[in-house]
Order: sequence, then C-alpha cells, then structure tokens
Amino acid sequence: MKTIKSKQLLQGEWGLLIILVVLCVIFSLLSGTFSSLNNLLNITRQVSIVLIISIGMLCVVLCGEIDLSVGSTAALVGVGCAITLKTTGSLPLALLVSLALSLAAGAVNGTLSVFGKIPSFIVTLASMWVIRGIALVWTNGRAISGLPKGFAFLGAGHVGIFPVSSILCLLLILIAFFVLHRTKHGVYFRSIGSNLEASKLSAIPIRKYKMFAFIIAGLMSGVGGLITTSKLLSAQAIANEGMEMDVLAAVILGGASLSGGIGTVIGTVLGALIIGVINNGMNQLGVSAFYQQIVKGLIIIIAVLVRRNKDK
Amino acid sequence: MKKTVTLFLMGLAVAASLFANGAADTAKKTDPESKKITIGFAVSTLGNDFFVMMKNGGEAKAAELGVNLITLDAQDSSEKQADQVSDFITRKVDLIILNPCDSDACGTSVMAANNAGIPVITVTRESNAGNVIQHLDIDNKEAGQLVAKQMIKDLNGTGKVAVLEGIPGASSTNDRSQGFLDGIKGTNIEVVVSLSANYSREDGVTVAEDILQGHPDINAIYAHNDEMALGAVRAIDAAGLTGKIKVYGVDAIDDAITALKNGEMTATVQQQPKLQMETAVQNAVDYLQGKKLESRVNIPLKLLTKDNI
Repeated sequence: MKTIKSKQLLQGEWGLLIILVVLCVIFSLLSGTFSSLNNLLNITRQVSIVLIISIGMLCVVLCGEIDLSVGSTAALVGVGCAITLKTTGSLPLALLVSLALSLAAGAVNGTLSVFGKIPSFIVTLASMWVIRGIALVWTNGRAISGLPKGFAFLGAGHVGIFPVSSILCLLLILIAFFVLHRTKHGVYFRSIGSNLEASKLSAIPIRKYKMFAFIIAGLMSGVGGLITTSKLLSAQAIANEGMEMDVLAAVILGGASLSGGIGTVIGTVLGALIIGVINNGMNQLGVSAFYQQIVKGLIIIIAVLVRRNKDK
Repeated sequence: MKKTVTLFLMGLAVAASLFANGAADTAKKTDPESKKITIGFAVSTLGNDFFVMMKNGGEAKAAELGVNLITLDAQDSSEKQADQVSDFITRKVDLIILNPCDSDACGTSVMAANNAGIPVITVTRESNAGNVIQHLDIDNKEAGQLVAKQMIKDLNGTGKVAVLEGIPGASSTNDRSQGFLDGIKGTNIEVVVSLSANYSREDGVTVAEDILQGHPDINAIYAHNDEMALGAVRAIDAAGLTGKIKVYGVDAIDDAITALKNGEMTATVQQQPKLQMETAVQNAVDYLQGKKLESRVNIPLKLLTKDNI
C-alpha cells in the first residue's frame, strides 16, 4: 500500500524533476561555475528561506485556504528578534519573542478565518498590511543593526561544508514529508481541502486542522524571518516584501492546487529549487535584470505546461 | 412642558452665542497661527534609512522655522503617491515638497498641484512634467566618480571589480554607473561583472553570493547604494573573504558608517539627506515669503573613508 503511494507520488513530480535537471544541465554548459559543489550548496542556502515558508504555505493551501501575510510575519519576527537581542543581549529571550510573534500571527489569521468565518484571502491580505505596519512602527522604518556576530551562524554559517540554513531546511522538509505523507494528519489536511462535506461527515476536526495550518504557516514564516535577519546580521521592517508571491509560485509550480486538497512536499521542494536555480543561473551568466524577469516568467509557464502533460 | 422646551431653547441660544463669541475670539487670537505655513512632504519610502534621515532633518528645520511639515509615505508606490499629493491639494497646503517614486509617474501630480496654484519643490528625483520651482539633488555621476577616484587610489590603478547595480532603468542607477565607468577609464581597473540587486540589502547578499561563486578573485565591489554594499559585506563574510575584497557604497547610511569603522567597507559617498531636506524646507519658506529660487540646487557630496568619519 505504502509503496504504491510513493510511486504515484514520484510520478506526479517527474516532469518537475526533468525541468530541474534540464535547467541545471543548460546552466552548467553555459557557465563554468554553476555546477561547482560550492555553488550548488549556495543555491540550497539561497532557496532555504522561500522553501521553509513554502512548507507552511503548503499546509494552508492543502486545506483550501491561503496565507498572504507570510512575508510580513517574517519581517515582524526578524524585527522582534533583532530588537530583543540588541536590548537584552539574550538569545533565548529573542527566540522566545520570535516564537511568540510567529504563533500570534498564525493564531490571529486562523481565528479570524476559521472562527470569524472571513475568507482567508481577505483576512491575510489585511493582516499582511497590519503586521508590516507594526514592524514599521516598531523600528520607525530604520534598520536594526549591530547584532552580535555569532548570530550570523543560522543564516550564513556552515557545519562542515553544509550551510546551516540548508540543514535546517532539510530537517523541516523531512518532518513535513513525514507528517503530510505518512500520517493521518496529511490525509486530513487534504480531505478538508478536497471535500469539506465528506470531511465533516467523517468527523474530522476541521477547525482544529485549519487552525493548525495557519499556526504552522506563522511558525515557518518566523523561521524564515530569523534566517533573513541572521543572513543580513540586521533586521528591516521591509524585509521579505513580496515573499508571499515567491512562496506561492514555488507551491503552485510544485503542483499544489489553490482550491485545496492537492499538493506534495516533494513538488514544493522541486518548485522552489527550479525558481532558485533560474535566479542563480542567470546571475552566474550575468544576464541583465531586464531579461531576467522575462526568462523567469517564461520558464515557469513552460514548467507548468510540461508538468501538466506528464500528469495526464 | 412648553415652558421647559422654551427654557431649553433659550439656554441653547445663549450657549450658542457664547460659544460663537468664544470661537470668534479664538479665531482672532490665533490669526497668525491660522496663517502658519503648512508644507506637505510626499516621500517615496520610509522603508529606507536615507529618507528617514531626510524626514527627520526636514521636521527639525520646520520646527525651527515655526512651520508645519506633514509627511506622507508612498511606500515606493507611484499610485499611492498620486493619491497622497491630491490629498495635499485638497487640504490646501502652502507648498509641496515631492520626493517622486518615479520621475514620469509623478508628472500628473505635479501638474495637478500647478493647476491648484500650489508650488512644488522636488528632491532626489526630478519630475519629467509640470512646473517645479526648484529641484534639489545631488549629481549621481559625481558619486560614481568619487568612488572611482578612491578605488583607483586603493587598488593602485589595477584590479577586477564587480558592480551591484540599483533598480534597472532608474536614473540614479544609470548615473552612478556612468560616473564610475567614466572615472575608471584609462586605468587597469576592469568591471568583470555587473548585476542588479535592486538597491536592496537582501538582494545584495544573494547577488554578491552568486558573483563570488563565479569571480572569487575580484578585488572590489562597487554597489550603487549602501544597502546593497552591506548585503555584499555579509556575503563576503560568509565566504570567508573579509579583508580581501574592498566594498564601496553610496549614501552613507548609519549602518554603512559602522561598517566603515569596522573595516568591512572601504568607502561610501555621503549624500547629506538631512542637509538636502533642511535646504528644501528653508527654500520653501523663503519662496513663500517672496524670495526667488534657483531652479536647481546641487547638494554637495562627500567621500567618507575610515580616515575622515
């Protein structure tokens, strides 16, 4: 039973994998530095923030909801962490503040859309502005810098040759894979998104799972915000602006359906990697910024088309 | 019953007349106050330290001169800025200091202000349409040239340089690029790669990481602003190349000054945003008091290194 499931899983993502490999081959042929181990590790670090937040978004999207506030939450958490770290000098306290802010953002989004019965698109569109606004007010628009150098470990540090943020990202991917594809929780998330009525009849605690999804999205955004802050060794209220679009692009390119019920962790990972490889490869080739956007848009359309054919 | 109503109405009339007198009195007393000059400042984004310094400088100057300065932040959106300028017009401010999000998009707003008879001063970015009584700016080419001059000195005229460009197509990007290229002409300093990082610190890290992958042997990075330069500093630090690659920026924001002190950056160009906005507010008040203004003022630039901060 389980083996059949993993085969199906792989088949759905086959097209994406081919696209990713083809892109890597093309970039390796065109650029001498693209395929170096160092650069490949560099790519995993560059995509880690989007990828981690994408995992949170996947949970939300699976149960038929959306979270547009992820970038703002990441910024607020980064700001909260940096300010606490700077004023108290205590890392545990800073992490506690970050955790509290991430949970709060997720819980507010969840409560308003699940119990307040307001569509999550509207709730999170509003909270996207409110949360960003809080971060701007808190910092008065200025960058919070002068953090202790050791704090750069998370975003820029290495264990052996592996970037710390990539390792953290891989861990979170494995946990997400296990939970969403190997436990009943994954089935529940999917079932809520694909058939709400049937889920109600089968006594799945719908509200609880939707709340969970928003809280996971908040937490993952928080982790993304911490990595951003660590990477820059400073926090800005405008950080991660437009992140929701990058994240949604990765999730949707990875095959998830915005109407809920469909989507896999592997697909999301591949989706994020494809976007990351395009960005990195074009920089390696020195492609001008004007063309980069055109090429990126076109490749994403092609990827979706290829994927759809492979699915049939 | 009728009595009560009459009494009530009488009371009301008395109160109203008293109140009206009082109001008239205060109006008289505050006559100079009601004539207090109000200046609207439409700023492109307060998400950037540079413009925050500008706002603070302007507010301090306004307080000193006893005028009101209202700041509205367009968060880098031209549409939002157009709405904000029309709000200023409806509010009948005496003068608008405009820091356009975009030189073309702000044209209609400037013309609307012209039609309403409200004078406009632009800062940092010009308006490509309408009448502006004064434009305060720096010469962005001069910024590129100052960096080039310092870099030639630091590298003894030879070396490989990567450039982090600003927002593609923005006039400041083009000028900061041109000034630098003019400045290094005739030397053995060569630009090996030039990519946009959109004036952002986050993009600065990513693009610098990519550049270091392909060109780990560069001697210097010239970033069109300090945000990107600070991003490059993080990427260089992560790659363990600190001290081997000199980083140059433009704008002299606080974080960049700290980076200069720490030796993470080599030089930056100070645009003096405070001075720029102070001058703008001063000139605005002068104009409203009948003085004539020059159509363009160049705020001088200053190259900052570890030695002169």
